[in-house]
Amino acid sequence: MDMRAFKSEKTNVEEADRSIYDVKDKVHPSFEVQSGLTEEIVNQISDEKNDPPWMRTFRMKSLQIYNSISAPNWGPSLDDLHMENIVTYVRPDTTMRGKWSEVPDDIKNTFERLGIPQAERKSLAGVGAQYDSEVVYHNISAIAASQGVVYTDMESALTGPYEKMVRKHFMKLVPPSDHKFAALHGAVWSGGSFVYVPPGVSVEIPLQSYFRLNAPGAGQFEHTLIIVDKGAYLHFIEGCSAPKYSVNNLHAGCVELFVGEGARLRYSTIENWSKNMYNLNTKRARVEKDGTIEWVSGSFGSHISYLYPMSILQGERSRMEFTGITFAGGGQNLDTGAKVVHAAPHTTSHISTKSISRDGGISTFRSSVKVTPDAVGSKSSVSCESLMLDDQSRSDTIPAMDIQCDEADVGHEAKIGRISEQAIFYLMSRGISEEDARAFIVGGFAEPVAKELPLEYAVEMNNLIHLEMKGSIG
Amino acid sequence: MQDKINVLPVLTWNHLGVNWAGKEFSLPEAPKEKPSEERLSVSLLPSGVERIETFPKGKNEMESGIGKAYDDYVIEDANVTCFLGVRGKTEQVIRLKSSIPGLHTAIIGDYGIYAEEESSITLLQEASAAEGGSGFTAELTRIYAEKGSLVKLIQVQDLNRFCSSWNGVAIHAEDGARVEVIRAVLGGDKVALGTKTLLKGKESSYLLNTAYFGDQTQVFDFNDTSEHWGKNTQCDMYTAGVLAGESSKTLRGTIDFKRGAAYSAGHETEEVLMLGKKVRNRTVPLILCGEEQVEGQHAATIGRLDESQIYYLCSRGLTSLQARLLLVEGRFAPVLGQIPDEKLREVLSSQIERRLKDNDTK
Repeated sequence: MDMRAFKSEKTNVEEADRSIYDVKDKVHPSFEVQSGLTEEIVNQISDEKNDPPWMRTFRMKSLQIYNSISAPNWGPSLDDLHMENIVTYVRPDTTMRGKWSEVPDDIKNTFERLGIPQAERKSLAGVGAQYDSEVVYHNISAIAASQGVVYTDMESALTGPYEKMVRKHFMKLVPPSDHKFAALHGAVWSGGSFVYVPPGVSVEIPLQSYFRLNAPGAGQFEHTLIIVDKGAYLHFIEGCSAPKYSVNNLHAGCVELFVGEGARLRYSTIENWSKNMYNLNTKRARVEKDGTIEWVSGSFGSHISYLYPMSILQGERSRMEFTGITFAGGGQNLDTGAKVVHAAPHTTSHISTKSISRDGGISTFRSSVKVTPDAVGSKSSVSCESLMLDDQSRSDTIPAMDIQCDEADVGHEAKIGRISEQAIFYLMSRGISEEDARAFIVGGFAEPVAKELPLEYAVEMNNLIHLEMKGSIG
Repeated sequence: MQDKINVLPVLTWNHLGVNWAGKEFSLPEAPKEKPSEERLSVSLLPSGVERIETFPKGKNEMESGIGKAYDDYVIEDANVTCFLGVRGKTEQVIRLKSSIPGLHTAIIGDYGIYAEEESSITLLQEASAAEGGSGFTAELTRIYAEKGSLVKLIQVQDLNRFCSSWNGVAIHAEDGARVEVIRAVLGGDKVALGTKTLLKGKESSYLLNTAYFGDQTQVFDFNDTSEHWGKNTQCDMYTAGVLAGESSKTLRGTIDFKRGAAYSAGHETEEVLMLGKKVRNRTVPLILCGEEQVEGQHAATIGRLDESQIYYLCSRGLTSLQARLLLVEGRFAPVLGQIPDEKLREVLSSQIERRLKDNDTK
């Protein structure tokens, strides 16, 4: 990216083709609660889900916390998010299946269109598919299962042989008191996945969960809990989409990742919620000695996003890497970034993000790096680059660093600029159309993220960029 | 004064404690004293520079980085004032020296520079305290730079540790005007600084160079903003400092490109040297961008001196301490080199060297 400013013609940008994602299914839920958030509704969810007593109490405490905490005084406006209009629990008309052929046709068709079963056959060790508030399909390959890997829906984990493990870890990294929407999650969570990888086991091909929110005016509050034990390895992929409705939808999921000593977890997300979605998701990882967490995050959808995966480097020499891209188009206000706490000696973090805004979209990079007095010899680097594609858009960079250790090295760099006209001119002189030239340059800008994704998802991301860029010439 | 000061232009997570200055920076109630000019000395004014009552009508709408409530506090309760009108180019440096004379004394200083078209001025502001002096300084310097003017403001703050300091600077620059602010911040117990520059005119530019040295329990809180409104505007903001002992510092540095500020550029750089187990550095460098055709960059380096540089200098015959002194002096050079008084420069330089030796943990 050339950071110099040049004069250029203005740009017309077409809306991207989201037809695959925007198909609305005619699926009637078997049960849904009233809209809004009351004790009765939370109790009703507990009843429906046969919660153990501790979970029932947990939900009620979370509701009390929710009612006592204010919405954030920073970030994009949430004034148009009215909880009284959100249906917090929608159960699809099916139970969870372990065979794809048993999933009801309407739901199956949705996931077929999104390419989920094909991906499972080709490149995944297991798949979970959530439709509205419940997981409708969960399967794990025989190889992974034979290694002792557990991959199941959260409800089954809550009452099955892993109950103790779930209880020990559930919302311990992200307590309901963390912020208002963590409390909301604690009160009404439903669905999600539980993964346990035993010590020393390396899951060679990824597991994936796909979240689909179909019901208009509904919320999705899935909980993902992953424990990667000592010396184990896992790549977990999360995908999300929803059709667009005229009413607002809400996603307030929670992801808690426990990375054991010497273990490594890669967590990849391609988020493509519809542009009426409030995506207020919380993701957090705790990493033990010599462990590694790697985040790869692509944010393309949503009307408003608050998304900052956080890593707590708890053990000596633990590491985190965050690679992210955010593409904000018309009507989108995407506030994304990452947080890291260096809480032990010789820990390392590297945050690298790219953001693109066009057609009046607002993209904000927000980060925090905290180095505690104990984190002697730690190193952190943050690099964020933003690309503005027109003067109707906004791109803000809001990093913060809090360094309390004199024997640490912290670096930060940020750049904001635009596509170099010289580069466009050069490509056009080689016979490439202007539209393609711009798409190539934006693709190149996003390449550091694309290369971190599995091939299928890198292709999907590049397609999304190409779609978003279509018509962006002037 | 209970209002929040040094508020970050766009808020972030509250738990970081950077959205505004902490409670320790609440301003004391202004003493009800009559204006007292003996706390302020102004050097002889050359021709072309004269004391004026206030800014011309409509030329005083700027706000300091500390905030409007602070500005109002100073303007209403000032016990020293000095407004200078500048016509033509002035080579001679004008000195404005405020000094806390005794125990529990306040200097509330309202200062201004109105630089007419194509004029130039260099103002050296010094804030200090007499031996045994204690209290606080709350100063506000407003600068209105008309078309093509050049204003250079050099501030040296060397108060003792029985004093606290608030120092706001508000700048408005018209077409082609350039304003430079050079700050050496060495003394004081609690120190709040905030500059806000409005680059309103096309091709206006702004330079901010800050050097600070914190040790013992000093707390520094900065809030510096450059707002780009005009086309082809430029800012360079450079802050370098040392934190030793139990000192802490928060720096909010914001480059804000408003829509219409096409072809503008803003660069912000920070270097922090951390010396001591109990120091704390917080840095929040914002780039806000509502215009496509701009270039904005920020870079920060926080931590230790580069061991390879020390190794190289030692291999050339320097001791480890000499090498570290040399590297730190290099960071202070952009500020100290701009102080137009050799004697003052040497005093500050030797103070930095002494404090660095006192706090050397190697």
